[in-house]
Order: sequence, then structure tokens, then C-alpha cells
Amino acid sequence: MSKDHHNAPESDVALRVKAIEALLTEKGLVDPLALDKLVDTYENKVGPKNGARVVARAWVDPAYKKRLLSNGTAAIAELGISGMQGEDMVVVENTPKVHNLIVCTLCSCYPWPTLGLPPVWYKSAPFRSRAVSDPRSVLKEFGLELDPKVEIRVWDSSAEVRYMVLPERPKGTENMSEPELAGLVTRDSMIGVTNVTLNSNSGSKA
Amino acid sequence: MPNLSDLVPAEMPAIADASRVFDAPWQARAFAVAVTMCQASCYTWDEFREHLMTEIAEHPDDTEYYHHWLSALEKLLAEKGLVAEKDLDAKTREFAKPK
Amino acid sequence: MLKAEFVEEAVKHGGSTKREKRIKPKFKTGQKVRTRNLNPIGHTRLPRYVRGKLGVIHHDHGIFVFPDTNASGLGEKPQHVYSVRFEAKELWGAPGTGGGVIYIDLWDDYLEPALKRAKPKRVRK
Repeated sequence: MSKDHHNAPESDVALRVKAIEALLTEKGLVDPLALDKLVDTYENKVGPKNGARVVARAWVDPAYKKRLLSNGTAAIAELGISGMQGEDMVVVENTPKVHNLIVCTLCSCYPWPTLGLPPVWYKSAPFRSRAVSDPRSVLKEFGLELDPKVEIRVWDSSAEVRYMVLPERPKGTENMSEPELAGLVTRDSMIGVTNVTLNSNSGSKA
Repeated sequence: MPNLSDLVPAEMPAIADASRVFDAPWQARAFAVAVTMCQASCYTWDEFREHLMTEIAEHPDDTEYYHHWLSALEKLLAEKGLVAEKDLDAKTREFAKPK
Repeated sequence: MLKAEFVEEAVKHGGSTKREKRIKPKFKTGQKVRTRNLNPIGHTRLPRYVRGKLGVIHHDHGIFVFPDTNASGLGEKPQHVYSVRFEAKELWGAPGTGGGVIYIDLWDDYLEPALKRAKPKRVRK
């Protein structure tokens, strides 16, 4: 059986990873430069700014929105966004009557090309269980209280399809440009734990 | 039928968390190894995911996600005959020696 | 081995397990189904909270490799994957959180048709 990491000090775990990398490199199975490149890709290049572009485009272009909701993968690819953990995308739309929330109760499946890698809370046991058993309380913890008449739809990414929420466009944004709109769209609104507001800021993350 | 009260109750970790992707360099390396080995067809993502889900289910008290990730990776690499546990133990000890 | 110069392409391309095959789906959109009560060992994609539960087919995602057989070297066994809709009350036995509905993606093999409940016989005193 493999060593139990669960109570090991961090430094031991770090050495273990270093050892795996060294052994695989010696065997010609990994290229450390490829590892560097992959880390750089997910730290700096792939992130929620991609999903924000998709949302902004859907807000300003009704024909695009229609394509997005009927074939998420193809519509997202129109913007040059595609790849690992986003090969089969479904986009679900928030409306005044329906609010969507994404989760992966089994592990942490998440649409990497549009949102990057998932935040710590998304992968946590409390979120994974409460999102399906008591979504309203989860949203409340994120500061979102919905009218009881709004239907909350929770999507458990248990298979290969990856989901993304198309949040509602906030009022007062009629005169904003597409890039300005994208600047409002947060990662959390595309997971479905918050809505987009005039004050929300997608932040400087890629 | 599960009771709501039987489920993991409580607080989610820092929901207003920073947008940092990895909390430590070892997490980034573990992530990258798992992904590139899959890309190199040493195993399928399904195989990795199956191990990951098992680790998560069997260690509900460990809140550090990348511990599950690393355990899954080690077990899969051992299963595939790519990295034997004793070799990994030896290499880890080697790196642990003070220079 | 994946070399550094191919990382970008590998990331952008990904690896879908969708399969273009002519396989008839067992279920139709709108059809009532029940999830099988399967042992978790070897059936890792059927979440524990949805075993033996009644739901409705919401959408057919198409045909995908079946990980339960594929990950154990027993073949791809491609089949339809459906988005199945479950009411919170069915899953948790409580009124739920008011308007909560859960959609779970499930392989064909995890589902069976929901049996119609027989009408209770009227007993004449």
C-alpha cells in the first residue's frame, strides 16, 4: 500500500512529489520543462477570464447565446477556448425563475478551459455534500438569498459533461462595451454561488 | 436514506479565498505530473479519476485535497508498474538527507 | 512522454470520451426512470445519494465510454449518458429547500425503467 500522506508534515509530502518527478524523469516518462509549462498554463493563462468572455458575448449577441445554450462546446470554441476538461460543455442559463449551481460530488470536476482550476472550497467535502442537499444555505453563505419561488437547479458533474452557468446580465449595464461586461463576470457567478452585479469585479486573474 | 444531519455539516473553507491556483509548489508539481502522464497515454483520465474518488471517499477527514491527489497518483503509478513504492520510498529518503 | 513544446496543443485539444456510434438509447427524454441500487465497488460514477431513486430523463448527452468497464480493462462499452432530474424530496426524504432540483449525469447501465405503481384495490366491506 502507498504511504499514508494524510497526517504527514508538508515537507515530507513535498519531498515525495519531488521523488516521483525525479524517478519519472530518469525513466524518460516526464519532461520537467513540460511540467513547468503546464503549471504556468494553469497559473497564468487559463482562468475565469475565458468564461467571462463567453458570458459577455452571450449577453450582447442573442444568436450567440442561442448557440451557446444548444451546443456549449462549439460556441465556446468559437472564441478560441477549448481543451482538457472542457471537451463536452453544457451551459445553463440563470433566469428570474431559475438559478443554477454546479458541483462535482464525487471529486472536483470543473470546466478548466473556461474557469481554470477550481477553488479550494469547491473541492471541499462540505460544499460537495451541501450543494446537493441544501443549496439554498450554500448560496446564503456566499451572500446570495434567492426568493423562495426561484427554482434552484443543481448540476452534479458525475460523468464527462462539464457545466458552466450563464449568469443574468445585471441592470444598468446597457451602455457597457463587451470587454467592460466581461470585467464584471466573476468565477463564482459562473459556478452559480453568486450573481453578477454592477459592483462585482472579475479581478486581475487570467 | 441519508439524514441531512448525517452529512458533513459544516463550514466550507475560506470562501473569500484568494485566486491563487496552488497553495504550495508541491501541489503544482503533483497536478502537472498527473496531467502530463495522462497526456502521454500512460493511463486514462478515467483511471486517475477512479483512484482520486476512492481516496476522497476513504479519507473524509483529510481536508487537504492534494493529499488525495498525490495518493491517487502514487497508487496508479504503482499499479501500472511505472513507479514502485519501494523505489519511491528510497528516493524520498535520499532527498530528505541533509546536504 | 509529453514534451514541453506539445503542452499547449495537448491542453487545447483535450481528450473527449464521446463516441460517434449508432447505439439506440434505452430511454427517452421525459421518461421516468429509477437508478439501480448498485454496490459502489466498480460503479464509481453512481453517487451514493442517488441509488434506487426515481427521476426523469431531462436530456440525452450522447454516447460516451463507460468508465466502470474501461477503467478496469473490460472494454469501452460505449453507451448513452443522460442528464436525469431528481426532486430534492425524493433524494432527501424531506420537503427539501423549496424548489431544489438536482440533475445528475448517469450512464444507461445505471438506470432502469420506473415501474408503474399498481392502483390499490378497493376493498368492499
